[in-house]
Amino acid sequence: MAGREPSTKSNGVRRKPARGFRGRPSLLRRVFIASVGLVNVGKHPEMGIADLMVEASVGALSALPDAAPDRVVVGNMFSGVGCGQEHLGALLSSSLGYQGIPAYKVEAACGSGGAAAHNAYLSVKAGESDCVLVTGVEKMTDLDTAKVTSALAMADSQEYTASVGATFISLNAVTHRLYLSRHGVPKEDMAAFPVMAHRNALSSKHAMFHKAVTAEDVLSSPVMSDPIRLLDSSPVCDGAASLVLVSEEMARKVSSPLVEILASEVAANIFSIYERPDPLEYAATKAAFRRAVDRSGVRPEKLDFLEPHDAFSITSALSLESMGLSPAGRAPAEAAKGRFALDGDLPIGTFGGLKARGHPVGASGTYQLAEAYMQLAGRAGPNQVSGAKVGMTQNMGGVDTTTAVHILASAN
Amino acid sequence: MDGVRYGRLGERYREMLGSRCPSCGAEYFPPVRVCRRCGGRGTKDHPMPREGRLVSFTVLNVASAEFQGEAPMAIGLIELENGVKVMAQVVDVPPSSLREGMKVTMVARPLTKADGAFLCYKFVPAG
Repeated sequence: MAGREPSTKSNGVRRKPARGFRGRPSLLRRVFIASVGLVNVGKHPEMGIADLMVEASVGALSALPDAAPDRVVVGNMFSGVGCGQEHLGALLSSSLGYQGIPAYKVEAACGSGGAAAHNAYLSVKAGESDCVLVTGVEKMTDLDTAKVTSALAMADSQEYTASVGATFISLNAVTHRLYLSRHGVPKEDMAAFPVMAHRNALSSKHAMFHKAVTAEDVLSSPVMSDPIRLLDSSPVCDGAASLVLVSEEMARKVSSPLVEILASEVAANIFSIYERPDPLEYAATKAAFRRAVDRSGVRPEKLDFLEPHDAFSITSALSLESMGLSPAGRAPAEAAKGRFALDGDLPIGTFGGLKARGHPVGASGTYQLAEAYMQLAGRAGPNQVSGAKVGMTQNMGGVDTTTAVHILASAN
Repeated sequence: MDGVRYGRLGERYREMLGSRCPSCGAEYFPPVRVCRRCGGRGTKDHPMPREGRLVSFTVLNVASAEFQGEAPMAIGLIELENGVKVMAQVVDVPPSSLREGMKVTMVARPLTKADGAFLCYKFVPAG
């Protein structure tokens, strides 16, 4: 509906005036998500990486018949080794019939989707773009298990982690063991995260798994890298998710629901867990979260839901605790008591999260943002968090090596 | 592991050769050019102590393509006597005997059965 004003009343969310970097007043523009498109996560032998990107992008663009992106940003981790294809920005823009606009890929391991969205956000905020298509994509299932394991290990040091035999799961496994012993957490409590993720995915159309699991199922599933079991781990899969980010001026011209990005922050940590003073400290999550809270003015207790980077049970616990949303060592017990369920105090992974919706690595950050859009637009169907007005996403590359945090609010 | 990469890193792998900042004394493995503590840019090669303690560990059953046939493999997070932490394989010990806090010693061993000529730091129980 032309001429509509996006709400300037802070979307019903009481917050302080937005501030720029280091407290300077922000003179820059507001940024909105105007539509999203999702490919159902799973094994797609019939689709190549271009097919996945185009499917999600067309889905997002079809809600905006009059919008023409002036920039295309792709988030992807390992298309080069995954399917022998790089140059994804131009591949996507060309496939959609665009010529002459900026189009490129942003990479930050499993945090690629969040970093791509951040790049698009900056462009709109700075006034360089009015309409940006962001598409996260990963094609993992052309590779066998050993090759996927090698590809995922590229998130950490090739020369001092992967080359000595450690895998990406093994890095998370040593933090999982250290966490259990430091805080005396029973392993049964950790199983609450995958149980909850699978429950939320049951009614999630685009999720990979539609099967409930019990704590007993988790604790008796095959050991991948002790103490991490198969059901503690997100699956190998294919997927793509797209967002269309628009300026305030463009937002007035579209008829689809609008969700405002109140903050988009990225932080990088010391590269490998063993180089950090405390391997259990998610310093990148902490820094990005703190800046996002400061810049949005949204108090953490006002968050209606959170899409965390639940690639493993341990990353759920450490993410929640690093952001101060759960006391140290308490997140698994709180999960077991239902605090993070869809009807709980702080719902997480509302469509199944990385664990059960699936984790097509470079696309997960854009799936989280698309799901946050669906929640805040009131389009989450049976997975709707009632009264959701403001939400957050947290997307990590590596073991919290690069983390993107977004805070979003409904704007209708 | 290919020969070119091993040619570049072999001494680091065989000797666990790290670096030290002459300005503030901070030690690093993997080696760094720029000191994370004081920002000094003149770090020098420096050997790491061979004795350490197992902070945490895992036994992985799913190995990467380069380590096919090597699983199960014990991977340890080891704190060396100088406080530097490394990730490395822990060998010569049944997985069920691994304990957090156990003392370990660095040895140079073939990286994999297939890469027998390439020696790399691994850890064995001390004593």
